[in-house]
Amino acid sequence: MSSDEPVGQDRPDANDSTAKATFRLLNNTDEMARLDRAVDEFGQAEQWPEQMSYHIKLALEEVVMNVINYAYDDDDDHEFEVRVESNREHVVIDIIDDGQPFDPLQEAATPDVEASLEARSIGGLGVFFVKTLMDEVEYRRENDCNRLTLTKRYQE
Amino acid sequence: MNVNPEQANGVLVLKPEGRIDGQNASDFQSSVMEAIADAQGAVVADLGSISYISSAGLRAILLVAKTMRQRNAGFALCSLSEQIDEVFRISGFDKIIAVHGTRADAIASVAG
Repeated sequence: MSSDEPVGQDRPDANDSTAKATFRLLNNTDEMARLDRAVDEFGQAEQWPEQMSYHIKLALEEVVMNVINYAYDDDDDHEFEVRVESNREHVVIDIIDDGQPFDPLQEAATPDVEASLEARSIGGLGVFFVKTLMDEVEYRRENDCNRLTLTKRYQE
Repeated sequence: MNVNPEQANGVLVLKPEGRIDGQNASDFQSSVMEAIADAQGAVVADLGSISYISSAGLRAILLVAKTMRQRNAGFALCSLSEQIDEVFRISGFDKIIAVHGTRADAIASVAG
């Protein structure tokens, strides 16, 4: 992340409040570990259950690594943003990048999870995890940016 | 990545540690491929010390499993955490790669 501290982070001071954090990252794979630690801390403060936290961090890695590895086709540094909102009902994560237009929900390969070992291809698992582990995934192209919104609700 | 190879009943057992994610999956893959390069027989990967695995890590494991199948040699995994077991089931990997609860069961299943 380009800044030392997460921007705009608030802690909940009432049961119905929403905690928010914004993380700015460079398109460099080293940024992933820092984001993972920051989101882990945020989730602990928000008391995300262990399995929910695992699902969120896995889905986030899959999306963010795709942005870092594929969104930009030059060798320059680019900054993109991850916004996290958490309250008693759900966690909403936006990943916003100004890279090439890419809708992972439409364009990623769908893995054949019934294929034999010999026939099984190696692609498409990351986006499949995101769709499977999150309750809602929405893509929009707005202001020349890709915006992927992940929603994870607390289990009943 | 150190995959801690050791022999048990003629089976090569690997025990990687930590995370297998988008940052180190290729390092994990080359370490495993190097460890199994000279193996004559079956291989077991004990994932009991792996805390996290992403799709990049699963791709590496799939390539190892395919390599072992091409050799017609046994390959099994054991000691998956609850979270990693869930990721395996979602991926359908539990249907194409043998997964056992304990190292002893995994070794017994592939030992000549």
